[in-house]
Amino acid sequence: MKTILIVEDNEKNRYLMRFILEKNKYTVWEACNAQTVLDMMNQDRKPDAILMDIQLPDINGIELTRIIRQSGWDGTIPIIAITSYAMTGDRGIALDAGCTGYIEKPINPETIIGEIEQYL
Amino acid sequence: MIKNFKPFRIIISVVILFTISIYAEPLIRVGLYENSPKIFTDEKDKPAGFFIDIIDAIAREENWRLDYVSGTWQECIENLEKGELDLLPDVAFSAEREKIFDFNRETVLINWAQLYLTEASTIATLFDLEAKQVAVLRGDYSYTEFRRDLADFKIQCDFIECDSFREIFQLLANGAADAGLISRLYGIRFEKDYPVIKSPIVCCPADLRFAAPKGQSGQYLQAIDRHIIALKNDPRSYYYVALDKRLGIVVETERGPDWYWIGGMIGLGLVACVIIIILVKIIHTNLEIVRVNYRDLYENAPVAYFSIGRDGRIQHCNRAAAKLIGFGSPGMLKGLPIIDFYANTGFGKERAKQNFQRFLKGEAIVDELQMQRKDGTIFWVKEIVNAVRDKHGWIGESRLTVIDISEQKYAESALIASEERFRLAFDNIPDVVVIYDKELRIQYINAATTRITGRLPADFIGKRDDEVWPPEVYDSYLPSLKKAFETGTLQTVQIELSLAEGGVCNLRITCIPVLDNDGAVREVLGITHDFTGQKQAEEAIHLKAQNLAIILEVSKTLVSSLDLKTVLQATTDGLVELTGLDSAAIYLYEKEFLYLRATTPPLPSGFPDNYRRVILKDHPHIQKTMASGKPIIVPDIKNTNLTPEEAQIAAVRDLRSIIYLPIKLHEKVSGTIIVASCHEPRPIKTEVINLCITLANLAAIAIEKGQYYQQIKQYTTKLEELVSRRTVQIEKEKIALEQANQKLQELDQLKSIFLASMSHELRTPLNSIIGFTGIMLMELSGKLNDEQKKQMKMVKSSSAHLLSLINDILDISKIEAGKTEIEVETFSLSQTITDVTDGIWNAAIEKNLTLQIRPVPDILITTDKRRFKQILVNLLSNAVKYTDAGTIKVSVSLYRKTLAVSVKDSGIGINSNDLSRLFQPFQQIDASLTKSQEGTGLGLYLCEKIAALLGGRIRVKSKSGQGSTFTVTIPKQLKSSKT
Repeated sequence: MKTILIVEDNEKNRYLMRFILEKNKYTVWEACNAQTVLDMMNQDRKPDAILMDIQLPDINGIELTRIIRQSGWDGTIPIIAITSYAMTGDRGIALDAGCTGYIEKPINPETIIGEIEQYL
Repeated sequence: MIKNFKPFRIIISVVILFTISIYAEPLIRVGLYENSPKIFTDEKDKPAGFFIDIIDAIAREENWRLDYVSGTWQECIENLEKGELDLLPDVAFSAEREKIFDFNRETVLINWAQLYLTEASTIATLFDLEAKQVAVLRGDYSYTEFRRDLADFKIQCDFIECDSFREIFQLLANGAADAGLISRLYGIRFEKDYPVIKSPIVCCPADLRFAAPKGQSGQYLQAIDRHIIALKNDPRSYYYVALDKRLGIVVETERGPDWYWIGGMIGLGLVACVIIIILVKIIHTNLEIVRVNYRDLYENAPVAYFSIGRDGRIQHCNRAAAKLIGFGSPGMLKGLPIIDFYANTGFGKERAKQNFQRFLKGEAIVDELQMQRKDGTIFWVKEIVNAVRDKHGWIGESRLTVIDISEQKYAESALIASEERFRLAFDNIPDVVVIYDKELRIQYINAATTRITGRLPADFIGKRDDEVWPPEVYDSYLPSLKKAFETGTLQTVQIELSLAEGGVCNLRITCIPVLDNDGAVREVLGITHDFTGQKQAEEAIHLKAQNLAIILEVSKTLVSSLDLKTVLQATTDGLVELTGLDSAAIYLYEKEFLYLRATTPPLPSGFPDNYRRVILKDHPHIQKTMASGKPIIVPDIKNTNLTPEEAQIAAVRDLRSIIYLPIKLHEKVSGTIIVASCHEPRPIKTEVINLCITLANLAAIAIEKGQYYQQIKQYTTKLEELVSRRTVQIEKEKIALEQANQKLQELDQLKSIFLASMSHELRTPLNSIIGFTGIMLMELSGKLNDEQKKQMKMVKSSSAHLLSLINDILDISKIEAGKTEIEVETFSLSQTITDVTDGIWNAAIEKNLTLQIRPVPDILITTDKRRFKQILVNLLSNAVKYTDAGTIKVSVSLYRKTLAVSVKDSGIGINSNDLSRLFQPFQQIDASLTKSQEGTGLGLYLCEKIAALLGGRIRVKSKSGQGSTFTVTIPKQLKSSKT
């Protein structure tokens, strides 16, 4: 049973993702800001994958990814950026910062699990 | 003639001479100098030599007491002139000397200078001496003559000056000289001691005699003549004995006891007065020997001797004589009349006859005549005729000594010719040429004098300048003339003479010293050149130069200055200076009137202002000048009709003579210059007018330039004002623009932020809507009934439409803002086509359409994958959307570097009128379709923009009702990404 951490400040979207993931038998952790993720890192609570929203209230997802990657916590945790930015170049920026994958919002509930699982 | 000698008579005379007391007899001062063997001091310090022998002998006979006064030749000749000597032996007779001295009439001895050569020499004529070393005796008269001869023939050789003939022979002997000039008598005496040969060249024949001061020693000279004639007539006389002795020709072995012996015998006779007969015999024997020797000398002498009888026939002659007139031996001439051998010229036979008549009357003859050889050639000779007298003193025969002087004569004629040329040259030059002697007497004056003074040269010759010229003339150059004599340097003096008829005469007198061979000034050549005309010309040139300088100075100002006022002032100033007149003014034409713009001198205070403006019709002179473009001269206004206006201005400025000059350029007259004399009329020369025209023309150019400059200055000022005003305006506009720009930048930034947040903010809720709709349709949240399912599908469709609207708007905004970024990657073409067609498959099936995909080449392409797909998706969904039945065909082709993808449908097609609107935003061709077909109306517009971004384009082929074909062409490899 794999654990997936959803980093998402929008409560409805957090719920949507949890719903889809739990339906597909994943354990879901939630974080609504970057600080929570940093706390989990400090407590060494390690998920099997992270779904990272880019726009967060404190530190944005790109920056947070960079911190996680540079902390030496665990370089192998898949971090999949899920963003509604959809600006050209966002994808490159995310991958450069250390993200493993990139999924655009709005998500397609029919295909999202397949997209996530290709990075796991 | 030789048979007539009387030895006893001589001996007796000698005896008497020595036995008579000499104290009561006259003391004769005789000059003694060194010229061996003729006269010299022997090793015992006694006077010796041929002349001494002769005079001693005569003195003995005449009971004279001789006092020899030693000195150099020069001293002796000076002392003789002063009368401090009574006699000087061995003096060459000449006409010049005869003016100063008295000479005995009978030649004592003939001498000449003989050129000796080294044994190996090839010198045959004078011309062979070119560049040769010739040894000569320093101060020798014959050297001077010889040098002059050579100079006449333009022969240049090096002279080695020696102190004695002995030294000359030594130089020849050791080869240090090529030739040597030696006294003939010295040569005869000593030539055998040296390895030398005699050349055919001789010069300076000299008739050597005794000289005495003028009018002082007549009785001595007469006595000498008497004795010499007698001595010469007696072959056994002292004369010949002395000649032999002094010339040393006597051969010792044949002679036995020589002449000294004879002297000794005489001495013995004086002391003992015994055995006279024995002595006489001995003397007789010796005299025979002497005679033989004399003959030898006579026969072999290089000088021609003829013995001529009273009948004029040749009795005898020597070899040289025969050779001279072209005969092989003397014998062939015997009995022939000598007159036959004189030339048939004025200096030939006639003169020879006259000379012979004179000779017969007892005159000694020395003359230059022309003889003729057997072959007819005529040549010049110097002949000396001596009488041979019998025992009674009668002239029995004559001895003719002939010297070939052709070379000298040739030289002389050359000299005469050159003198003739010189005279001709001097007589034909316009300058007065005078030759002065040391006493500043005029020796020569050329013909120019006659032309100038009207007096003949003869009026001047022999006179001093103060006798022929007025004092104001000669005083002015006499010092220079004297200085030329004193210093030997060229002197030049310029004098100006006032002429009686008025005016002056400018003379330049050049005094050229002429030096003789010793470097002393012999005479002075005075050349007087009249350069009056030249001086006037120089003055004219000077004046012209001065005028030019003024024009130049004015033109400098005119050229360098652009300021009209300066130019005008420089012109009037220049004109006054140039013309020497008093006043100048410039009037310039401006709008119907002429305005006074500059004056020299400045206008007097109170000059009426209304005079500054001139109305042309009131000033006909100015008007005429302006109209004709030519200067007008008014010599004096008092004699000219003036209008009241003209008269007024003339009165104010006190004008009299006036020049009106047009200011003319390019045939256009722009004003008038007035140059005038004040108070008094002045003559105005043509050249002055010409100068004025020159200056006026210069001024015209400068004035035009100045006017243009003024205009330009005005334009420039205006332009500057405009520019500065405009600059202010531009500055303001620029600031406004900058502010606007900044605002725009701010707005742009705001727009970008807005777009970014729009994108995010709109998608975030859409994410939930689309997500949950999907979940519900997937029935993950529970079973839905059909009605719920149908409604949820409508939500899903609407939210998908909303999403595509948002995406399209976002894309267009970004493209229009130029913010679109291209992400270039390399990917599989076929895979991409498959991905896109897979996505459209369901929709096609739903509408029961056939989707045909032609085989796609399996290649990699490099471009923005997402954008490329976006175009294809758009085209395919359009095709599906607008096709109700039939087929959609997708085909891919490659041509070189270009990739083309075509989407062909069998749909409604597009009317050709609508094709142009196809790629405009928010256009759907059929308004009715808007309702039936969901679409943003932005799709094709966006596709075209994206295709352009990828370096390509979209084309459409369509007909209404017959379907459409959209083709996108892009480069296979997009070179660079816009980042």
